[in-house]
Amino acid sequence: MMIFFGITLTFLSFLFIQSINKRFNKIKLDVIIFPSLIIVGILYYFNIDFETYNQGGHYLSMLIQPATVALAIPLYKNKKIIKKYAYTIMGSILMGTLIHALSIWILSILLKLDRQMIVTIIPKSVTSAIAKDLSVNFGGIQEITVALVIVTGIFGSMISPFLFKVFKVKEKGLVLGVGAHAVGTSTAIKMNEKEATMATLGLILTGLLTVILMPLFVLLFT
Amino acid sequence: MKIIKQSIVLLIFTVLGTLIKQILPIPIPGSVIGLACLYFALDFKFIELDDVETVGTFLKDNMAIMFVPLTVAIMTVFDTLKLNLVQLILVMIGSTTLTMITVGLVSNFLNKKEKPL
Repeated sequence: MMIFFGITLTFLSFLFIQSINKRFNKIKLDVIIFPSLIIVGILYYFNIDFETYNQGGHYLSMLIQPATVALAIPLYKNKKIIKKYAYTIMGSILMGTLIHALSIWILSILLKLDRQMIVTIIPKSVTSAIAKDLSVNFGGIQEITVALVIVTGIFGSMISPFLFKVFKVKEKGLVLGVGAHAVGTSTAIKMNEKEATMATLGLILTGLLTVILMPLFVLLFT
Repeated sequence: MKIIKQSIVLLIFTVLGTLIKQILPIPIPGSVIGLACLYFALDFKFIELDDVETVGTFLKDNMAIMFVPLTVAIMTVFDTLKLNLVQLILVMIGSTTLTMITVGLVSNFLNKKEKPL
């Protein structure tokens, strides 16, 4: 029974936020953070523990895997775009990954976070499955990494329209994929096929590059 | 029938990715390996777009809702987060913003150079 509770509660909160977005043209509430806040509120109010909710909820989390596999479809359909923008893609992702690690290091030192925290934070811009493994492998705190991954994805998606306007960004999908991983990709999917493709590439390549560079980051920054 | 067939194909690639992950020495998630396998299977015409497209597109278009339970899960680690909450938020905001600006500016720059091609 509880399986249906978690799934239904998630669907209802999601539909509720979507209907608000549809009714009021000016409001664009984030469709991940606001349904989650409603659910947390309901769980607290009725004193239901997270495990009860997650009996159903984790089936939705499990679908992220086949959905990620399915991202091969826009990649395949837009093969030509990938070839055309190969240098832009590679260069931007390399710079993005380096600046990401570097800025975390500098900010962490300024804010007096310790070595373990730096290792915990650096994997945050990659998709949660990679981030979790990386964090554990290098002695970080897995739970904090996963929470940061999600928050990064949502925050990145939320500020993206503003950044695109201010910096006249053309490759919106790429920025979303590199900066906000799978959550950013889900935002880019709503734009068009090209941005979805670029976001997917950003997501995958940032992940791979972070896996490769992580030992170096740990050596240099801790 | 088509829906069931397509779901099976996607699940096979998901499982395949998870299996390959076990024998790789570096932490790459199974879903990313499955993605690569599906891409090459399409590219080498082992399977057609028609074998995956309807279900695949449905899944990828509805990814947002799949992240909701993971976001709710943050409430369970809030006690650990609380210790460094302000610093963590500041580092998150600063590094994410800087990274996205970097990618935006670098891609604008490289894009201009690539246009003549």
